Amino acid sequence: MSLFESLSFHLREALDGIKHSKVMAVATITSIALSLFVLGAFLLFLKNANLFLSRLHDQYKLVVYIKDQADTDSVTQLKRRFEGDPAVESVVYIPKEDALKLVLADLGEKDWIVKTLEKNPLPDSFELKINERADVADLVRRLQSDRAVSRVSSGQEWVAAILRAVLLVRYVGFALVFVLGFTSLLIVGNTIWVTVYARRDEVAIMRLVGATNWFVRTPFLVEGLLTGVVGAVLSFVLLVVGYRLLLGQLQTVAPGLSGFAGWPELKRLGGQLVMMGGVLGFLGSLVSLRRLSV
Amino acid sequence: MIQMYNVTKTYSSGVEALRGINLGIKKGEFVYLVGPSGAGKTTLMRLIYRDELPTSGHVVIDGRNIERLHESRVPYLRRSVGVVFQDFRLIETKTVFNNVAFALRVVGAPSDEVNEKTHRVLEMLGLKHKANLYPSQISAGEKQRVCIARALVNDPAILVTDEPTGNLDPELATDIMRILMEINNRGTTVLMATHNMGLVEQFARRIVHLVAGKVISDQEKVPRSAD
Ligand SMILES: Nc1ncnc2c1ncn2[C@@H]1O[C@H](COP(=O)(O)OP(=O)(O)O)[C@@H](O)[C@H]1O
Ligand SMILES: [Mg+2]
Repeated sequence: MSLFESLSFHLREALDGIKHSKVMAVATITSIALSLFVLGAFLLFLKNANLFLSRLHDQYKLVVYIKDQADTDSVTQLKRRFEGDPAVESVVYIPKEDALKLVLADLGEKDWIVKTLEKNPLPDSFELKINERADVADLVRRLQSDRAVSRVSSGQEWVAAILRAVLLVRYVGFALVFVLGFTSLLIVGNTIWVTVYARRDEVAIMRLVGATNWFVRTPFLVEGLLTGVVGAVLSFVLLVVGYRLLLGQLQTVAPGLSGFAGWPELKRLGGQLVMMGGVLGFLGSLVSLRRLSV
Repeated sequence: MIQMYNVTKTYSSGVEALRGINLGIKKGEFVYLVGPSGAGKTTLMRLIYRDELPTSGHVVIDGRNIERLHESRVPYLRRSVGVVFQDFRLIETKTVFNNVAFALRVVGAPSDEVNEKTHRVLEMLGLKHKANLYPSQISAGEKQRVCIARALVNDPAILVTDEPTGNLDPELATDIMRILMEINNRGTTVLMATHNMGLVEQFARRIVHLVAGKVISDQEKVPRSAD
């Protein structure tokens, strides 16, 4: 039997199986679709949370002001310390002259306010971009105890709090995806178990006439894969429709809001869901076959 | 073709279904397996297609010792043994043609061979005009013939039939017997378990008599009557 013939046989058997146990196929597809819908909704939430948080993060700077009386040595030392610190992504030194220029540019025609001063009132400073995974509060505490540092502006405190939340969301998200995936596997495994069980006579006949183990299993695995993919597509359609509705609602409540995950992210999510559906269906079948020692 | 040496079979329930069976069946023989219900006929047949393993003793099928046969080789043994049941065991969701063709497809036969062999065996069993019907649409006698066709389509060396006429009217039973004789005449070794002593007398062949798991008599070739 050629590979093509063998593939078409298994595909035909799988479709036959779905056709003749419509109720079970619908149950399997529904349970996969629901599991993946929940999973997908969560992933979409996570995606949006991440987009939102990384936008915040991009805007977020920690400004470290240097004491006027600090000597060049301790400033160089401080710079080196930043460069060696894993919590610091990048560091820019802004001497007071530059800071003044920035202020003047900002003031525009009103620059006389500053120009009348005989001495630059601004201190030297460092602008730090902080690693997303770093503990900002801890970093601030460490910096404040440095001799050369006069003050650390950690910006709005809530930004730091949210940055900490990023970490938490990621870990919880990871755990939740794992749990949801496992639960879906169990549900799918169970529904497919029933399909396999319903066709145990057919399986017995396949064995009787001398089909090899893999020949017996393949149609069920193909069936699992197909139902998984169909369920995933269904969950994706539901997800897109639901997401659109939700965004529509949000637009009316808070019209200014933007930067949500768009079609490219949705497409990627769709791909992931289809893959997960396929894998779920396939593994579900495999587990059921093992349990029925087919 | 089939050899059994001191075969015993004790089920996990403790029932001793077979005790010390010694039996030799040569290629091309036709053998009846008779005896009361519970004598162990079905168990003996299940050993032949390795649905069960003997508790002790040896079963050799076509030179292959079934206890030593690796799990992965079992499908290949099954391809040389056709099995027919009293209760047919057809797949209700497949047509007659596909029930028979299935037995070839699942052993990986190319599709033109599947078509050719399936048509040939359906023709031989007079089922050609029923090819596209489903099992629920045909009679018991026809179902049994489909079951035989499925067992034969892969050209097995041995045909094992467990009370194939048990569910049929006498007339249909005679029909099935004629078919089995014909198959045997073509060189297939046939083993048939039966209750029906009328048929055994009508189509006289070697008779192995089983009672309580033991062979109590083994009559070689009772002379043929008119068949
Ligand atoms: N799977 C089984 N498990 C336990 N006992 C069985 C099983 N199959 C058959 N038996 C017992 O083995 C004995 C022989 O049964 P069987 O081979 O079916 O006899 P027959 O086909 O001659 O009626 C009976 O007592 C039956 O109850
Ligand atoms: Mg029996």
